[in-house]
Amino acid sequence: MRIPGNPRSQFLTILVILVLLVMAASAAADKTKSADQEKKYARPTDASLYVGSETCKTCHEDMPSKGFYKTYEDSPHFVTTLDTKRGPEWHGCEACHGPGKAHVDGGGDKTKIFTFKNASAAEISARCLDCHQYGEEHSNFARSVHLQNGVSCTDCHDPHHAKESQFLMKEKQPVLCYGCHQDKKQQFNRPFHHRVNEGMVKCTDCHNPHGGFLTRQLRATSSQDTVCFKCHSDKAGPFVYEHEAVKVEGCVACHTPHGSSNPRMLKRSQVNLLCLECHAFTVDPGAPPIPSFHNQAQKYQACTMCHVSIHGSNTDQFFFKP
Amino acid sequence: MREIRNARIFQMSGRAAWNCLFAAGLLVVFLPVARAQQDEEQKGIEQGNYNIRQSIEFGGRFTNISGDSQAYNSFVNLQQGPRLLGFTMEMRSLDHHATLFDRLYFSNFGYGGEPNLVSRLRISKNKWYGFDALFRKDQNFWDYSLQANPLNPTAPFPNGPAGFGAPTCTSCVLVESPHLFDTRRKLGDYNLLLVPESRVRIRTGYSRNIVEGPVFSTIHQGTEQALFEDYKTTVNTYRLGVDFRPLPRTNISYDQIWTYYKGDTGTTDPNENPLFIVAGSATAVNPVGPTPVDLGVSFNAGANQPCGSTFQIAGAGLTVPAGTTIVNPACSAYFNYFNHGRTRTNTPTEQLSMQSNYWKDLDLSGRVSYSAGDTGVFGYNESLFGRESRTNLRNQLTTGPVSGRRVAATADFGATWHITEKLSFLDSFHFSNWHNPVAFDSSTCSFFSGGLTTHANVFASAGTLPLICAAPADGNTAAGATPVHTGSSGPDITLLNVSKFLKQDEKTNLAEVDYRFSQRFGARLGYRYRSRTIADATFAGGTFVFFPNSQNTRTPPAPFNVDANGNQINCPVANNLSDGTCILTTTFPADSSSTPIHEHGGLFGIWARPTNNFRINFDMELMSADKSFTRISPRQSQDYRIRSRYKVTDWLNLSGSLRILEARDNVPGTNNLQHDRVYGILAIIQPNEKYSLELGYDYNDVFSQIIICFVATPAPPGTTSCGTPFLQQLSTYTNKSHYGYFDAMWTPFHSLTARLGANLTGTSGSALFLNPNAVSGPLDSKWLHPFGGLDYHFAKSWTGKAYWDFYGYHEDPTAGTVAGTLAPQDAFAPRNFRGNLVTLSVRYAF
Repeated sequence: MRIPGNPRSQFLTILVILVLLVMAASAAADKTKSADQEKKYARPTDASLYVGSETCKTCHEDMPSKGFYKTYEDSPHFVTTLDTKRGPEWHGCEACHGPGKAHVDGGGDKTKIFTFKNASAAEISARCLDCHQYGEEHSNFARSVHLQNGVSCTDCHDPHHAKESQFLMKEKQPVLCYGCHQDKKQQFNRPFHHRVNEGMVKCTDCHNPHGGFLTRQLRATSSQDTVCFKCHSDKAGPFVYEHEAVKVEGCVACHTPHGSSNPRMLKRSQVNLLCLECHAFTVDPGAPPIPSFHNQAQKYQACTMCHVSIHGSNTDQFFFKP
Repeated sequence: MREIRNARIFQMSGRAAWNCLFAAGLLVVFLPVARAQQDEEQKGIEQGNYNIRQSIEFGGRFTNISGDSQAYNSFVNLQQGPRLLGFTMEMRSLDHHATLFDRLYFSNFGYGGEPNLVSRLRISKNKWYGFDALFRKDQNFWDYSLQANPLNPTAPFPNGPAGFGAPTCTSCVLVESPHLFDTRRKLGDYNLLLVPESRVRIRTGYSRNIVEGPVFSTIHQGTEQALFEDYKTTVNTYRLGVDFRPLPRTNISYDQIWTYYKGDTGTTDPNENPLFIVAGSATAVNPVGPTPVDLGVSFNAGANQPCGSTFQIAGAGLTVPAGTTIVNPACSAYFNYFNHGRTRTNTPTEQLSMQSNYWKDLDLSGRVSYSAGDTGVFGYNESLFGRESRTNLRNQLTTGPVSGRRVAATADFGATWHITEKLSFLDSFHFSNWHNPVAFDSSTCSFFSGGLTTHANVFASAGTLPLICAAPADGNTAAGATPVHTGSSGPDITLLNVSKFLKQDEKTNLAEVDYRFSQRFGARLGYRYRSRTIADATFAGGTFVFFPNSQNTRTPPAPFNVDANGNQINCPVANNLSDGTCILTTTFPADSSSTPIHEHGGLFGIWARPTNNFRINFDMELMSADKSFTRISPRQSQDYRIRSRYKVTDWLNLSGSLRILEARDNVPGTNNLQHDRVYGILAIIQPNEKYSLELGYDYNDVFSQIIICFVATPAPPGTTSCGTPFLQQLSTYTNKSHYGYFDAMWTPFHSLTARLGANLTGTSGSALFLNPNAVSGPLDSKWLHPFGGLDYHFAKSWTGKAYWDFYGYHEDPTAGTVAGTLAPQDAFAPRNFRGNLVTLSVRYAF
């Protein structure tokens, strides 16, 4: 896995290779511009291009599936048909699928209307975000890891056949998330885990699937502290005596947040080994080494037996007391 | 606690549970209700202007648990009894124009005693409001016996009482975690959005987070006494926000958030630990005993824990009959302990955020927030009564306020510039700066005596003291009595002011170029730069009063007992008053440090959808830093991910994923290498509506190595010296997990569905065992959860369900041990359990 040389040269080597790869692939790519490729979705405002949802219903009442239009009527999106203030480009089926007159005139020609099935993630998302972007929850989707990996709104939401009526989800959490994030499923099925499979905690409690400013699309507390403190508020402090690694490197310095074979979701099976990894003599100034009287062959297997307030203490520098 | 828990778990016998399952099966199959046609979908009923759909599932659970029920409760905690397993109600306005609300959704599960309980309510009226309420409650029981366990050996104590003496100290082995707890967390989150579609909309919200319940803990004061905490923390958060849409496709939001944290946990020594008797001389002026004392949780006769000659046989002249087993009065032990303070942290936050697509080629979003809150501990009071043998401490009372602040400022900015239809430039900038200055001004009165059976001598100083200490109730206030100090005794009166400061300043910028080659293929290339500066500082000073004797050789409490050159600070003889009292007022050398870290990262990702049925994406990040904050923080890392899904046919879906994380901090003296590799495959087979099978397998390989320095006697093999008495060794940790699962469903006829599945995890690994009594524990374990059941739609709207779940946890006690031998912790307190659960329920949906 390692490339010879120092880290900087390794990094530059890989960067150059990747740039060349991208350039080569770019040259080989199809240069024809698709009519559907849009930088951003701009709704045509010419009212004569629109036919209204009732016209759509004449064919789509039971097509492509039985009760298709009824499902739409029952969905939250149907309220757009009741809008009286804005133009037809914001109403009903055509609010998402675009103007339908050419499609109708063409006898149902699928190429004359926008269909989500063959559209790119960017195009699909642009359509949805035209209404749903406002508010912090969705405002970073354009830069989200999901969109950057070709995951669009309709990969998780299904406006017509949602299994979950709330937010028109294709599937419940966490099953929906496991569909792609398989590696997380095995973590949540470890003996020590956050209660995601039990329905107590959702993936979206900690991550914002629509993107954000933090890595891993993590959320934060209202005071922009690490998201763990939303529930584990007693660890937030501030404390007179901080365990600095907790505040600086975060809970993941010692814990595996999704699940682990180790108790308390620790990264190591024995507490003393985890502590000793930092609290040892080191070339860098950092965590103090353990004192000479901590004979590891005796009672010092579990450092937290004595250092009970390991996340921080207000009254004891050795974390013996709260 | 164990008795309480066991009493709660009324378990059926295995045969009874199976009989119930069988009876349920018969009930379902032979129920004389006509098997109505299964309604294809839940259509609901229409009443007034609403369509109403409801479903309720209720029933009961029967359990049969063998093995360590405490571990079962820690892992699973599903108990027996009647349950409301689920309820859902949806109301939808038929014309989308109802009077009070257009949509209502209410659901819950877990009522009746489940460890996880969730209720959700959503009500909305299109243009007017949306209300969202979520309430969650979970029961957190924890008693995994290896946690915080001193791993006491079974060597008997001479003169030990039953269970502690010859031939084997069976009672030494702790079968429960000293840090057992049984807490409840209640999380409430309520949000109201007003006029959601208008140009100005208003948001309000309230959240409440309560954690409470009994917790056991330990305190290190000579030995490890067991404590009880009446744990309670509360967080209330209030939110008020407003959104403006001043321009087309532009939103500006302003939020005021106030968070108020309350910590009200109190700690006492409940004397629940095995109690031993200490007894003093019956002829003394103030005889002691027979009095029960807490010797703590560490019992190691060979290592003189809790003390040498821990148990003795009483002779004549004591307050107990001769021949009684008593505790060595020289031992460290507690008669009682109390600790309480009210922690209050109040954090107001202001946040301004914006998002705009106003310009055709540019998406912008940003956020600025500022928090400046106060924290304090009020009414802090810690009192102990007992003995710390190292210092002869007998009574101590500490009070004093804690006060501080948490100030955090963050700014985030993100932009996407759509340069062409295919090419975009993305930039994300994150700035965060927080600092926590917090101080503790403590006042401590300490009294000393020569043993557990000796009362503290109270010194009547003639000087003007900075603090008046009330004598303990049993103190010896006779004129001329002087405290019995040791060379390690601290001051008799301590006024210590400690002010500490921790700060991090962080700036991260991620610039990426995203290119969409076609509808089906895209790639991106990015560069991340992160700069952090972590700074801390400590300022301390105080006044210390040393009574005779040794008043000029004892020191303030560590680490404030040395000067800038590392020399011990003593109270100078020149400060002695006429009665020998020495008062020292000093300021300790300030200690501060600053650690700048610069990280550079390269990102690359590609995604492809060669066909509508196949998608694959790959992304990687390579990082290099010039420094690490901890020894296990990587200086270099490589993170690779591949995810793919392929719909082979209409009835077969295949998925595969790979994640490889390589990290290292391999500087001399640390030599840290880590990897975390996960490989997974999944197949979903669904030939028709009658059959489906999901089958998957994941392999996870975790590895770490790092040089550690420690003290161990006897020295483990393979160690070298890293400065006497420290030993150095490469600590290697491996953890390999295999996770297999399947979930099969079969619908033999329209109204019956059978399900069978399993989640199976097997873990094996190795670690450096420094303690001879350490066990492999979870590192060689199996965690099994097979399940199966029937859903029988026996009448219109009615479904009967009968499900079986098995939860099994098994640690291999022979792993890492000499064949035929078991470590005491495995022999006396195995964590293994097997739990059979049968859940019978009926679901009614209309």
